[in-house]
Amino acid sequence: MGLAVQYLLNALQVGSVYALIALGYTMVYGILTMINFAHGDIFMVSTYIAFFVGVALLGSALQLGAVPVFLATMLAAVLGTATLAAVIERVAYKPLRQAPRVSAVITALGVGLFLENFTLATIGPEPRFLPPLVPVGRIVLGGVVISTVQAQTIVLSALVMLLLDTIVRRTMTGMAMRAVSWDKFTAPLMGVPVDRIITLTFALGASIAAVGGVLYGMAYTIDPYMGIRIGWWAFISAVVGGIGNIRGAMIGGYILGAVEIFTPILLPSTYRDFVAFSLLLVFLIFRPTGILGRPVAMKV
Amino acid sequence: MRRWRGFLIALAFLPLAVLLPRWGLLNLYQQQVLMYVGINIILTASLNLVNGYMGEFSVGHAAFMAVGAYGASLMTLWVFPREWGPLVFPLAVVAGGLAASLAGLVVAIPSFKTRGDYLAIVTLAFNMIVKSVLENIDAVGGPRGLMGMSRLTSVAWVYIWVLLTLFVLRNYIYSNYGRGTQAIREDETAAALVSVNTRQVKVMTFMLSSFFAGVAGGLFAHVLQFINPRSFGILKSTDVLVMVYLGGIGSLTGSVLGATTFTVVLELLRPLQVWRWVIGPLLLVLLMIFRPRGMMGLRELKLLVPPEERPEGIRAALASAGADPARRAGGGVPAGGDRPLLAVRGLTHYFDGLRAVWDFNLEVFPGEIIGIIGPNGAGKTTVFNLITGVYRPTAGSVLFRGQELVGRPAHEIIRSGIARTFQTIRLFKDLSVLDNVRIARYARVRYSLWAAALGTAAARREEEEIRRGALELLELFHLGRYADAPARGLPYGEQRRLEIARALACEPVLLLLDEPAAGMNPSEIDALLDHIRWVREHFGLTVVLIEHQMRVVMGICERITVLDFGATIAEGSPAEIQRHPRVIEAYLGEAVVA
Repeated sequence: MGLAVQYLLNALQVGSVYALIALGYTMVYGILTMINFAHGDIFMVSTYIAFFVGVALLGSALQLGAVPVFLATMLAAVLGTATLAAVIERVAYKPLRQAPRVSAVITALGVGLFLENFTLATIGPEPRFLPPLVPVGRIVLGGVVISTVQAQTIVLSALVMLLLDTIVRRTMTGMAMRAVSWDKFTAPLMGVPVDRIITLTFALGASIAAVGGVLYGMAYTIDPYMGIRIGWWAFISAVVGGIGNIRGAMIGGYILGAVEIFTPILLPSTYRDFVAFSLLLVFLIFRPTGILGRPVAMKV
Repeated sequence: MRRWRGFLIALAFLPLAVLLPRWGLLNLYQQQVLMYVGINIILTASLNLVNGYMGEFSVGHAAFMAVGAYGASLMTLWVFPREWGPLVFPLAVVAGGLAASLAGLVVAIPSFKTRGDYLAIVTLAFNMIVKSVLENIDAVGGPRGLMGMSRLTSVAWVYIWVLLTLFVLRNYIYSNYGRGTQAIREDETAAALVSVNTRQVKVMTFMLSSFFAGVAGGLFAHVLQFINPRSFGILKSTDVLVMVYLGGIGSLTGSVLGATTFTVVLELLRPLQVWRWVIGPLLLVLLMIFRPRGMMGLRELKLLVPPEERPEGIRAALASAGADPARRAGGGVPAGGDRPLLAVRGLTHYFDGLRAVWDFNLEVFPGEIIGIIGPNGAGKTTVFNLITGVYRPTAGSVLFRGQELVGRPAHEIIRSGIARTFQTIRLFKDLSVLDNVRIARYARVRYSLWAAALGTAAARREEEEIRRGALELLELFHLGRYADAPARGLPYGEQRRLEIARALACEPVLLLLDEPAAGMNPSEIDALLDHIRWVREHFGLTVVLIEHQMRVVMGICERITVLDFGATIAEGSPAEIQRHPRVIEAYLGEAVVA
């Protein structure tokens, strides 16, 4: 029983990170019907920003407490990553908005590879650890061990998702986003600044991924190619939940977290990718709209 | 013989490919680069077939290469004794290609239902799965891979395979199967509605493409003498994409250029080490932004175009085809039998609870011209879509010559003798006027895929027939002089005429015209009505036409059915319809009681 709860907690921790990244895929798809294949690598960049800022802050003469260091690192990662995403959108994707969809997808793949290899060339391939931003502690509850990072990840992710859901459903900006996703051509006629909303969506998606990046980096090692696997798993989460659907991305994230943690119980752990991608194929073929998505009719 | 000239010239260079290395004029490094260039040309051209010509979006090409590489290596390592190596090598490469084409089938099937980005994900996922499976099979070395293959690939072998690939792909592209492939790129629904069996085309194209990717894999494995799953990841697939888009989609010349440039440039950048993997993707992004159609665009080097398909070849054929109107005459208006040609009963269709057509009935007798009219949104086009298999009706039956059409795929319905045009013109815009008409012969082609790929005499004879028939039809419609121009360049009226000509190339008995007068002024409409009458008599057709302009149907139709909000509100002769109170109400609104 205790073991099952332990597994469940681990699944929630990993799943939270997947969900946070999946939100970025789903928001961009929702608004542009474009798959931003560079998103996983943007997530990777956020962990490196956290790494350098964290090292600098802890090594500085300021002697800040744990909470300020954590918050400052988080803020730096969020702002840095959001800026990066906005720049990528403006420079690489915007010129292609009228081009065939194929061009945008290939460009996104190219941007992703560029980020990976640029990081590799400048920082190097070796895996790194984030410095301990918060003191490592553990809570023992009836035979179940919860590390502080784990608790932090699960709670903070849930809060961020709640916040995003509120932004999209309750604010003017959120309404503008939904308007653009329904009809890119009519929205500007109603005074919605489409270009700004699209850039904002990219930046917002990247910010959320950066939150995930910091939380992930506090628990695991980081390297230039980490964004490929994690990005894919997050993307699968988005598809499973129903791409374009924000709540679907959250559900999908937790499902993929469960797949990651529970697969090794049944199969050798090297089969994890196989299971995840097979899940993706099954969904694409039999339920391409995912768990929460709605089908779209073809028009002649 | 002219047809083969380019390849014969190329073949004459083969001894050089054998002798240069032997005489020591090419060192090992240069040989290796040359072989990579060749292998990349095969990969690029094969992916171009799917992405460029078919317009589908496959991004996991390395998966097929992996299957071919492992397949061929297993043949030379385990199946045959090592000393047989050089003898069985071609066989091993072909075996790898066949294994890869089976894998291509696995990807073709999901492409029936999904396309665009979704298909991209399917192929990427497939790439990942292949890699993951190979990593988990200990028998083929797991993550460490296979090693110990002899260096069986030589510059000469690569050269032969490059020529073979280009030869087969060119033949395929210029066959009617290849034209069907391009029609899918232009407009998949319209392709099916001029009788292209889109599923068949997709299966053939994916299998052919992955076959050559597998061949490239087999050659690659026997250059490097060592393969592991990581060599065939997304990175490799992206390389192939770069080469395709660098050279130009829909151009074999482009593939040759793209593959050569990319391979050579990467070799030159070798001293930069890691940085060349930064430059490659950057190049791809810049390419997409500034030159999305690549170096060649849709253009093709003359050498890779069969002589009869070059503009001068088409003009020559046009001159000899001539317009002999009597030759194609279908024998006047068919005699009106007492059994209906088309009988639609209780046709009903819902879009997600929205009732588009409700209990629609129609009987059409041979030789009639029937009109379906109604205000915008009345469900007229939906009726055509239901008859031609674009949608499957919620309820009801469509009997054509006594046979049920409901549930049959669109291309079969067209083949059985129905053809249609579209409310908004749906030509294959980037293809030539001639190709637009030839594609409509898809269902009548008798030569096989093999004959097409090898360019056999029988296939060429039949192609000649198809071309002659298509040119005659074009002349009949006064479109002959545009034959080799892309359809998008035609004036509006000519585009409408071409659409009718294309429909007629399907050899229909029943012609469905969807708002043929849309966008025309009154004098153009009068000319159009004469044209429709002439077409009917000349080709011996029965016609059903949709209109919302009263004057069109009144002038030509013998019987009229009026639709409003998906329901039939009146039926009868033009005179009856004009007086019918419910029709007046639907068109002009309710009478106001003073």
